[in-house]
Amino acid sequence: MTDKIWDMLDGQLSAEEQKALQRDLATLPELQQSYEEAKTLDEELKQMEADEPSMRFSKNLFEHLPTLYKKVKIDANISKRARRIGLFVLSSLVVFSFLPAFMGGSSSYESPYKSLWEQFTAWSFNIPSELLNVLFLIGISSTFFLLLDWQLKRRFFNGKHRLKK
Amino acid sequence: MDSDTHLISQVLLGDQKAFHALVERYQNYVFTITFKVLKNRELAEEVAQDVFIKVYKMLGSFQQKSKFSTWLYTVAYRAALDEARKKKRYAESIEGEDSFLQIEDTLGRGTDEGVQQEDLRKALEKAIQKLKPLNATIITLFYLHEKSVQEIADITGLTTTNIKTKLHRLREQLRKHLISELSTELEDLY
Repeated sequence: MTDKIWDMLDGQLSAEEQKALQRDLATLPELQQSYEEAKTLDEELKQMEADEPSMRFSKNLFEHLPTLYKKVKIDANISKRARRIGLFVLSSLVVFSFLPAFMGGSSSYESPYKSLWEQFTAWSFNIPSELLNVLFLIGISSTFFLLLDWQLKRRFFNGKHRLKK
Repeated sequence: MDSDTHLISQVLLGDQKAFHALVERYQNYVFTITFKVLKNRELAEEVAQDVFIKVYKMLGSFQQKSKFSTWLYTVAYRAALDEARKKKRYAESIEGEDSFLQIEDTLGRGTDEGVQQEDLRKALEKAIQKLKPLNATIITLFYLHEKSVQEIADITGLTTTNIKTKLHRLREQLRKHLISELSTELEDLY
């Protein structure tokens, strides 16, 4: 029967069940007393207050957030690694596709990669050599910086961050 | 006030102030959970901090299938439970198999002073503090965090039936305990 009391206090009883319980409460003094006690406890529990951590709590957390943020930026975005690999592959393709034309400087040059990259590189022989030089430099620089970025992040942000007490 | 969803998206865009807002909004609630489980302020604070760090790191993978608070409290409860297991703090709980509570009588029973509302509150706080971590968490989540039975089940990993049964049993035990502690003085409050 006390389960019904708690169900009523939780608002879990149907209108019919509630009427039945109220009838019982009106006729059974002991049940009425249990109800009053439960109601008092319920009201008291509803006024329960959250425990507060010390002032140090948020101070410590916020002080370390900038360091933590760098790590989160790496960890939180799962696709970042895939994107980085993609960029690396693309940069490599740029370098290797322009390498034959850059190295040869004319269509007479027979690239050792030509059989492998024939379809991909054939058009690059018609591109002006100045543009080729620029593209080649962009490609090789991108590859270098991507590798550097990858290594630096692995080196400096791979450890666990523990807050100071 | 910004919604949790909005703040989360801001954090993921790199706005650290949004995370500050989330921490400020939930730090007391998270601390309450870890404190209820661990019964030690310093340890509870340390675990609560770790919870926020973990949540911050995992925010990108939060799929928003549940409320952010439910997810946060789940992380908090499990982290506190793990810490409690490590420290074997369960051993410190004075709850036995048969009794939910065992509280010293510090309420001046037998004196002429009537029991006031404040006494009831203190007795209740003390009683909750003495509960087993799981039971204290269930009561806290239900009343303080206003979580539904389903959400409490999600957080604790128990079934809804189990939570309902525990809630009924716990409150009934609390009622009986407080009645026995405060005896006739409580009647003055009605």
